[in-house]
Amino acid sequence: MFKTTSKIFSQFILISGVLLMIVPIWIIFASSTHSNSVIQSDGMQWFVGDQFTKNYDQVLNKKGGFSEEITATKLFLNSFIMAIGIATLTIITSLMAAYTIVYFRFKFAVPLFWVIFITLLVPLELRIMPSYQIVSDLHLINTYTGLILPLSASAIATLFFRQFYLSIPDELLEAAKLDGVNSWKFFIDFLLPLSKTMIAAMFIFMFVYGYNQYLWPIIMTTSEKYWTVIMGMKIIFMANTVERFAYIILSMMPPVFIIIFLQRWFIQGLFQSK
Amino acid sequence: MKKVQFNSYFTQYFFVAPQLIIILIFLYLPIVQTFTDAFTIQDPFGFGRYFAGFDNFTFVLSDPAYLTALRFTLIFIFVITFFSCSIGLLLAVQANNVIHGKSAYKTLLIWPYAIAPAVVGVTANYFFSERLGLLYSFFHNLWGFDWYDNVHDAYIYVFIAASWKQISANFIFFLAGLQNIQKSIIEASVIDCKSSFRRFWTITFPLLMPTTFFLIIINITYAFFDTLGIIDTTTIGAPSGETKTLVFKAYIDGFRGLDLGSAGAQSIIMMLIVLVITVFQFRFIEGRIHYN
Amino acid sequence: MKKLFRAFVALITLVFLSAPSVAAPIELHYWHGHTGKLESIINEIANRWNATQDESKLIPTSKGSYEDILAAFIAAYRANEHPHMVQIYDAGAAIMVAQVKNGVVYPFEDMADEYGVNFNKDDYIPGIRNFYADSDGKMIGIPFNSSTCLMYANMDILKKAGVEEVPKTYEEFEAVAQQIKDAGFIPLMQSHDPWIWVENFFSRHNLLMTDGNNGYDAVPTTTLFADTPEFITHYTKVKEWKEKGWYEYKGRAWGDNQAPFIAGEAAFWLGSAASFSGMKGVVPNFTVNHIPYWSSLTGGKAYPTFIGGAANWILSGKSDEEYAALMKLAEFMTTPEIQLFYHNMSGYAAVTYSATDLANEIGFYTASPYHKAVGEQLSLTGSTIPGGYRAGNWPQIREVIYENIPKMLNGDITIEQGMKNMDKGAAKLLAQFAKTL
Repeated sequence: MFKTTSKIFSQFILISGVLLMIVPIWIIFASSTHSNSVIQSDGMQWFVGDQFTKNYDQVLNKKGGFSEEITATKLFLNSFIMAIGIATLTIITSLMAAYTIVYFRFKFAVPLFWVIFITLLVPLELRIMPSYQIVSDLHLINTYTGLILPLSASAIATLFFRQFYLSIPDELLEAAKLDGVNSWKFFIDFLLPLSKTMIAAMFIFMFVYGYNQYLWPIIMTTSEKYWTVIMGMKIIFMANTVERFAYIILSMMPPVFIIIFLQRWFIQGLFQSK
Repeated sequence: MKKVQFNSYFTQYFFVAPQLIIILIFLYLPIVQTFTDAFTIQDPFGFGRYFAGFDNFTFVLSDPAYLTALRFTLIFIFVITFFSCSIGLLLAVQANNVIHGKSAYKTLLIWPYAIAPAVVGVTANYFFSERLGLLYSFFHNLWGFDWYDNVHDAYIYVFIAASWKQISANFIFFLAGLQNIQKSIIEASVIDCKSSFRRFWTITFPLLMPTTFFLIIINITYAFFDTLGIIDTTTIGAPSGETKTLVFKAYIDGFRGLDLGSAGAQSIIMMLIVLVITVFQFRFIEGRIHYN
Repeated sequence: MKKLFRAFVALITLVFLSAPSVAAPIELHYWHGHTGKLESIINEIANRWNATQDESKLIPTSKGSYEDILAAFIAAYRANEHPHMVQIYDAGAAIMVAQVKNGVVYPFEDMADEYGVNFNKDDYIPGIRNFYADSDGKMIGIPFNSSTCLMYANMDILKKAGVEEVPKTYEEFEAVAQQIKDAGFIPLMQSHDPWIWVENFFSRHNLLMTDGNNGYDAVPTTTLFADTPEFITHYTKVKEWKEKGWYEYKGRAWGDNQAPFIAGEAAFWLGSAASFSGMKGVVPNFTVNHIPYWSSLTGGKAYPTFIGGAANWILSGKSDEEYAALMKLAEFMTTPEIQLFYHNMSGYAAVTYSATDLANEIGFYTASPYHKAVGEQLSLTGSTIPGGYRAGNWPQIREVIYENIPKMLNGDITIEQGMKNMDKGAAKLLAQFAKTL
């Protein structure tokens, strides 16, 4: 009996926690399905209204912005390009760099490791202006390259893959060498297939990381054609409040869906990277 | 270190080159530039440059607005860490405790982690806006809450927004930490101690130390850096610049105020703070915690 | 067959040789900081220019906001990717004028002397012209969107509260504020402390804001906030009003302070001439009036305010051809017709006498009384201070002001202390700027 009370107590706490997380988002969603005048006169709504299709369609397709050519869909496109670009480039470069550190009698392995590790101490926020300056000097402002490249130097992924490689038994390489496999073949035919799950986990983690970028796109993109969904939050040009609500809901969907449906991989990436 | 390795000369350089090039150009070059800027006086266009020694640092450290930001950042970090950690821990303990719906709860409590800080900020903005804000009217009716004017109300506003987002991160890690504690230890402790409350504090919590310290570092990093998106979409430092974090102030001074010297000096100071925290983490914490 | 083929080739060749070679129009890039309606007005002007001639093509790009454009422009300049013309706001004027000697900015008057055809300096209204001129009066920036702060009044509320006339002075405001409050409305809101109640307090009351004659005679070393008793009196009064509920403060965001007026809850709102374009059709019955002043502090005289808004600055590093085309564009943009168009659509002031003359000719102000106030207020005479201020790091000085105003109004610090803090902060920033000159 004592045990059941405590179980009920736990359920109660947990349900409260879930409500704490969900209710704010729910209210925004419910309010986004009403007409703007309802919101202005009656405030935020707790129940769903009837303007869902109309509002969401407006948000996705209405041409707004400065040149009257940008729709929210374009912003999503930019965000996806950026996120996928960052995830892909990060993984490729990290897989390769970690390979060198672990599998080669590399003279500079130790200094290299530290060089990469130290970058963890200096996040973007501590080098904003100079990063901007360099990207500008390279004529990369307002380009996808400029959005992707500077954020793809992730020490996290390199260390992650290094850990993983270290855990692979030496016998694998011994056997491969006996077969006369060179370093390229080993990497492509042996290592990569083994790393599939790790790659998936890291990809998903970096995607969410890239998609949620705020500061870098804000300073980097002065042309609205390259705006991303998250940085557009601040300057969203939706005329009325309900459309802004719909925009907020839409913007959080990709990473949230990823976390919910690809939970296992995301968490794996999260744990290994910390 | 692997026993068996390759020896190929060119391949190894080839494999490491891409990441190294990106890091050197986009990470180290800016760092060097930050140092140069911090010790130089120049106009926004780069004209009139000259070496200024520690002038920028004295300018920054003697600025009352900087000290306000420093004070606020410290309070901010402490409050966020405390609330996100405790609520996250509470939820994790309960989730670990139940049998029914465990994975459902896990899913339902994890997803806020995916929401970008900027989105959290904009959402909070609506809840705290004077016109539509449900939380604004709630608090206003309680004690005349008005974050536009009153600095303590503004504090409450950003604390709530920033902590809310971080609860699920703490939850995930605490849950994992709890699940790692061997069942045998728990079962043995049930025999020794009837009160689940005391059991928690005397046995479980100490075993969670590694996770807790780890999370403290995570929370500090979050509050220090990642909350820029939240501040920029909620109070923007108002009222009176008293809700500016150090990172936010450096961003504004550099990007809006166009004072590269001041922004550079502020960045260097923050790098030192991060260095101190990291050293502390490695020496004292990782050194002392030896389990499994 | 062969003959036919040869004839065909000859014909084609003839056709190609005789076709006039079409030179691609010179592209003139222009960066501005407007969005929404104001941006579409600029696009319209560009369309008109491009339609009237094919020597050059104006390509405007919005960079988001006045603050963003400065940072973007500087980075672009360092990478040599800057446009031909850029719109920089009033608070950035000092930075731009200082860049003349560094060769970044090409003074407008110099370009006009070199390439100008229909340039008439005296046609430009002096108050507007001088804000963007150097201390010798040479025009550096081309005045473009000139606003000033004005008072919007909700006539329906005034009727309900039994207020007959819109107050011209703050004394008159105080006389009717309680009535308005009793009728259930907010008497006064305003949207920009630094611009409206600091910079333009000094202008409206003919007082100097910094030493060095507002920076026109010498590089300023300090602001004169704590040393100007009139200014201290003003904010003491504002604080009183806030306590009495005659004035409400909704933070530093422009929109948050404008919202109650748009929602029909506030009687008076101090905003910009440019706010008109967003107000028309939204607020039912409003008028645009001169901003009030303290008649006891000016001896009853109304002085002109500074212009706000921005100017267009010509940048160096382009070819002769481009500058010749740019000059023609500049002249086009200052023709009375284009100006009147811009003035009408945006609410910004007309910058030349010929434009205002044209307006009067066609009875523009009778048809649209909203537009009268801005020109009138800017054309007031009799002030003995310069027509602007030339102080570096002004955007950051505005930040210092933003940081102290709420504390003063709250009572967290005394007005005197707040003034001293602002002076101190400003002096530090001015010193930093001076170091780079």
